[in-house]
Amino acid sequence: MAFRPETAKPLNALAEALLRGPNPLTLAEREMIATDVSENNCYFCQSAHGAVALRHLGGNEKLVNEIKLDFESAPISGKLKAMLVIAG
Amino acid sequence: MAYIEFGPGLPGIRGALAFSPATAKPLCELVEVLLHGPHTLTPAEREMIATYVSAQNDCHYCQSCHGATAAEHLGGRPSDYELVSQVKRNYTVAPVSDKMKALLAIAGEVQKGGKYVTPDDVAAARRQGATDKEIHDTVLIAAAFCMFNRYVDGLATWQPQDPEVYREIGKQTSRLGYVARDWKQPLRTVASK
Repeated sequence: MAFRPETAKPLNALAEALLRGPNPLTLAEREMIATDVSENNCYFCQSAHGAVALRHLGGNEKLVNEIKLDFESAPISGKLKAMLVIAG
Repeated sequence: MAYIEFGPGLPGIRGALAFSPATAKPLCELVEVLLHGPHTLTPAEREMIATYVSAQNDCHYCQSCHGATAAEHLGGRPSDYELVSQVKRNYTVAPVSDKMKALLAIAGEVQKGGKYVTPDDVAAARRQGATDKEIHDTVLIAAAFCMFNRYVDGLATWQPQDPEVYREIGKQTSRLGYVARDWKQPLRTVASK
């Protein structure tokens, strides 16, 4: 991003709109989708967005780990489970 | 049938962009910088990378739009469209520069997954004169188009089969670029059907 500010600007604006803009999904829910998608692909992204999700969940590390390990069994809403299936 | 109702006559990503202006704006600004703005790679070369990756991802809409845009940047002749088809079929034997072949190799690796790009791939591109910016942008174009392809297919958007639709899109986009566009504007080739 530092190397190419011209592309950094819209990339950050996109992430801002998707992850922090007004939305029926909470901030934590959207960061969890980002974390889950990054899980098997990118250590940096899963760690960064996992940390943000953790912050939005008030430091509930147990919940974040449960979602990462097996979201189908995690104590999250049926809607978020369905969203994570689509994202996957 | 698209998974979300986008309104009639809006093919592919156009419906999704019209539906969600908050995300359309940065998406279009990103593509404008990557494919249409000032660059040491020509717009045709950059559109060629986008269409190649989209073909590898088997996204009909994206490969057709960007293939047509590449061809229109080159002049819009049948031979220009044929060149784009050749690149998609097998760029290693297509009449494009060795630098383009090296960059398309990198793009092809990114399409499989970021970790497939090797130091040898990058060294090969540098040997053909590719700059840091050209390598950076090739990776980002490939990564972005993997995202766009998933976006367009993931919502089951309507993807016309008529090549004239894409010729019209290619003519418009090669001339106008990606920003300050009205994505709700119907296409002549769609409205007439």
